[in-house]
Amino acid sequence: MKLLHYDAPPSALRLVRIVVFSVWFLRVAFKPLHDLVFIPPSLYQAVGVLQLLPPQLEALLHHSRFLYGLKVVTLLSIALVIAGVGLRYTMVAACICATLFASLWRGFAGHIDHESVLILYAGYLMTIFLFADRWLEAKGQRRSPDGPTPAGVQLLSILAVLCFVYTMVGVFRTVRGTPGVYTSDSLMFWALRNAYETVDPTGHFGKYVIDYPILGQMLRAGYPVITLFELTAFCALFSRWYRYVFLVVMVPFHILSLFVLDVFFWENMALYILFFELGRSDREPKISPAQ
Amino acid sequence: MAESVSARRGALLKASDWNFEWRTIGRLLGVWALCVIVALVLRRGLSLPTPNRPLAVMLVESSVLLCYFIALLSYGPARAWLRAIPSPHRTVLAVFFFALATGQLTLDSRRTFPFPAWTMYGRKEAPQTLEYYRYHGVDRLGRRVEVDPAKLFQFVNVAEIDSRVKGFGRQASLPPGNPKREVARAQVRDWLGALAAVYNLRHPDAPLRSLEFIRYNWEFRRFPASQVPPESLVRIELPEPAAR
Repeated sequence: MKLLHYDAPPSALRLVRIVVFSVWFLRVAFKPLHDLVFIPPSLYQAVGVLQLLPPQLEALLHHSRFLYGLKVVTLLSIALVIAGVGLRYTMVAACICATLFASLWRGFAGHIDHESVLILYAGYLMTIFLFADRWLEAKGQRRSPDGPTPAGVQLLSILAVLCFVYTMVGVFRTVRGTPGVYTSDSLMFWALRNAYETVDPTGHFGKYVIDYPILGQMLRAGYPVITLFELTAFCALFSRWYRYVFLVVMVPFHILSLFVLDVFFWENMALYILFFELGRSDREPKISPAQ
Repeated sequence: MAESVSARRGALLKASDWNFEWRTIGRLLGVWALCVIVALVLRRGLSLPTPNRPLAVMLVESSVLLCYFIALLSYGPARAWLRAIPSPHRTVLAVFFFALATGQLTLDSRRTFPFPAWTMYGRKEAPQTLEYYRYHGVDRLGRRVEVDPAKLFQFVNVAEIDSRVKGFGRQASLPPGNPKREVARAQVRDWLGALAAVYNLRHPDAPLRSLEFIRYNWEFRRFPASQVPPESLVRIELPEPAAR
């Protein structure tokens, strides 16, 4: 038995790279990060590695010119990655800039949201694996002729990370929330809470869980099913049928989440492309890792 | 998109594909212990952990994750794949999964970002009241306007704004004399000032004259939303814009 993407050709990796970095391009292009200058220092809390910077240096990151400059450099580096230009440099630049961008926008935050994080991981993995491929080439080490293709290694690794994240969500809920999250009105409360987070939420259906109890009952009934799929997400690496069922359940779930919970991880859903085999390599004797 | 390489139906249940290797399990146990230690150091610093419920729950959660990896690496095709990839790639994957698991167990996403804890909708939360905040302004034309932070600060996730505002909003509504109340009210004034500044940039013809921070505490099981009395916590008056 071969795992998914075992024989993936370079074109599959190219496609996924374009998808991942295009999502990042859209995310950066439509995120008005320059408004960060209006957040007063008393309400800003540095995130991640930015916490390690001296306060004076960290404060420089909030200047309007820096924020505009960061946006331009990030978009430029991502565009070059999409075009396949100088990948060794542009992918590193894109990952650093995107991480900085994502850290800064979370500086005004009560909790850290997970928007775009999986796409960030996909970018990290593709970049690091690019260097690992180059390193192998420089050392003259040969890959196992029967092993997965260079593209296949990367694609399955990203899929494994995606599945592991689902699993972590499911395990957390099972260990820390069971049975309370299923037996209480937690999900109904979250739907209601999210509907009142803002004056004009994207999905208004959460406001109706009080007047229409059937909506809350449907949410409660579906919740263990979603958790079950999260817990078993690793099966997507091995079973085609599981992948199909997973998509049939999770795609509507994510779309319903937009309307009921006002939460939508469209960037992460772009990675569902990895649930499909994206072609097969004809197993040439030597496959260029540069792709 | 073609779909041809995959497991046979029922292959996951084939006993011959499963093989527990004690050497692999031993290694995984070592990595698991290191992961728990790093997470504890990130959470508590170098002080020794006290045996309590949070620690026990963290150990249970990490043990479940460990079991996943033992199962995964005991499954023949997965182990064969891992052995077939070059060692630098294997190292990259191991470090990446280690970082993911450590971030998950640390439960301090602000510190471990971009490896946050994935805890969404994971803990029971069913209070009797729903708390939310609104912003009522009056512009130079004397009109009442509802200011929406989600529209003014579109770079911030709506849920992030909400949880941050609840953080200082709750403290701002503490009884007078509580030191946290004054600190929180200063934060609210800063927040209102930031909202007003952005609003006025977008509405130069009718900038705000005042802005009020309103708290609603809704007993949603007893009353409809329309009957929730607003509680004004902080109001700021804004200076006249300088003549052009």
